[in-house]
Amino acid sequence: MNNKLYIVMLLIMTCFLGVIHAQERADKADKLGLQFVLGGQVGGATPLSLPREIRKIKSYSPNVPFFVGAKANYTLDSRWGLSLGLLFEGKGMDTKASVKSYKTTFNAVNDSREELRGYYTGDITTKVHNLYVSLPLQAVYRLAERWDLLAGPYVSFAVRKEFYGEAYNGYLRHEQPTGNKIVVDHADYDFKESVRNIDVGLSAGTQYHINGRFLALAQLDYGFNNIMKTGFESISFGLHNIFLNVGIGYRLK
Amino acid sequence: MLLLGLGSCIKEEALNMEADIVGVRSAEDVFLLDPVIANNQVTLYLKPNSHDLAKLNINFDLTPGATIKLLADSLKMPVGEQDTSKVLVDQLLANGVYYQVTSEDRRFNKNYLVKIVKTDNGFVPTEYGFEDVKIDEDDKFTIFFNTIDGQDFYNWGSGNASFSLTLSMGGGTKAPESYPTKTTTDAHSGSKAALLETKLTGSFGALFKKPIAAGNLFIGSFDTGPVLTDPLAATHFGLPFNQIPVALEGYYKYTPGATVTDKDLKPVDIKDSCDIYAVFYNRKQLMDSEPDPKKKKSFLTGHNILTDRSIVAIARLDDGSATAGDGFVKFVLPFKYTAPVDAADVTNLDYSIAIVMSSSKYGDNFIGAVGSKLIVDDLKIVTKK
Repeated sequence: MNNKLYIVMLLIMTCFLGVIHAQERADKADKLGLQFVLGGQVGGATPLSLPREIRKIKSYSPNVPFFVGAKANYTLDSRWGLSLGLLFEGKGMDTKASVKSYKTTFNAVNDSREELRGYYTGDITTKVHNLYVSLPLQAVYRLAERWDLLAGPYVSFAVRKEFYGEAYNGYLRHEQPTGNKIVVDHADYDFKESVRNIDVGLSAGTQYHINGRFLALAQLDYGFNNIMKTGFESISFGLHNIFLNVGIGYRLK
Repeated sequence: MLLLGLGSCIKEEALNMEADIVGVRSAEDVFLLDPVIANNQVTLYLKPNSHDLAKLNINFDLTPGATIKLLADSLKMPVGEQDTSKVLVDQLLANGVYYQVTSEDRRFNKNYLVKIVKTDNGFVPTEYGFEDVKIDEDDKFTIFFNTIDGQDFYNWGSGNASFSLTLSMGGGTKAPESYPTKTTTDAHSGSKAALLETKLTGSFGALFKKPIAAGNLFIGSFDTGPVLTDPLAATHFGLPFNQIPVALEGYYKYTPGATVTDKDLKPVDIKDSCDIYAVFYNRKQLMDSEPDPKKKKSFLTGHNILTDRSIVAIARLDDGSATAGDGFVKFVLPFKYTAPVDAADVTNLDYSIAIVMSSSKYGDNFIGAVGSKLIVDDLKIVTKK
């Protein structure tokens, strides 16, 4: 199902690219624009709503919170346009949380095949530092003289995957909630092998033209798929990349 | 912002999934020791002269929200017997009775074998042939016990329960022979002897820096709780003993493994050796020496088994190196007394004894040779008549 979604999106993008390319030759070049964008983002790999296993979020900070890249714009008419971007971005976070009867596994770093399974109660850190190359395709609507609304799908390809953490100040029930109780003061896990290579989602936001060259951007990226691969069972709920991006753009043309 | 938003929607706490007996209480002061509670077994030691057992009013403290019931089919009613409570007490004293604890969310059940031990005439036997064994239902490791006059006594502990972590993690087969502490048919007498073997802990060891597990067997009990954080505290050594020991005797054979390694699994240039010793200590003094009632312990641990001030005598094998030939070698280890003993207090069960055996003498510090094998049979505590 997910694979089909990727293929459909890629096809749509390819079509639009083809349209832009074709029209580029046919129409006047002033319908084409190019802007560089740069900014920060805040968000995380998060469940859509917090599962009951998470009792408290003790701390949160963004990690690798940036995006940088370029967007090609094509003006369709006075109101509508299309934008295709190529972005390099980090989607990451560091969190500390208290959990209760959280089904998980601990594994030796870089070796996710041999795991200690069970239900963990206590404190846990989660460090997600993923880097992606993203292709956002957006419809651009001129809302007011300087305001644009943007919305459209994106597909991101992971170029670096990091997902690890530590359990401390808690205990594990081995395999089952009725299994042997083992006090845990330090146990590592590393799930990077289970992070998906592709993340597909929808972005929506706005941009404000400060002047002829600069613009301010704000948008929300929402990942449709669980960032962890199908069959990954060490976290019992799905995690989605949900990020708020704020940045600036520079219009080259 | 987003996460803070989510953080404000922490959901209502789920019902508890755990189903533990966490404590045992009685209206009267009837217990000689704190109840020994393992993951699926509870042993209660009654004070001497606890006569009216039918009136024993025992209550279990459980995981919040959990419930407990007697497993009716574990109670074997003799034909014609109507008095359930009498049968219950008889069976608690003989082989034990199974209780089932159900978690608050009703999804998980755990069965406990509950056993009451009368201590009037002492209950730690003086002779051990290692013939009586039971296999743990879930993890399939060997448990040594003793049957005396139709009563079962679970006096022996081992680290087997924690080795199940290694087997789960490494994908090993959970079978009695996979564990460090088990039986062998290579016996001095009878059909079985105790076999202790130092094992590699594989990926579990790599993860938690505990690369080997020596086979160990001791009088006392094992608590899996601190195996990762404070493994020396996991071994609870010693049970009450009402005689004055003179010597520890028995038969053993020992074959050290090829290469001794340290806690980082790096080779160390020494030969492995086994350890067999017994410690006689004043349990009352041990408990009185701890002012904090929450920290009061009726047992010694790996931290103080040979050093605590309550120890009055130690009997220890001097030379734990390889035994010559293939046969069993007899040992006689005299108890060396370093403090006076009050015979009346011994009779009153104020003292405890621990027998400790290990296939690698420094296995408690994760130094030893994988493959070291210690076989022990026909152990005997010689006592003062």
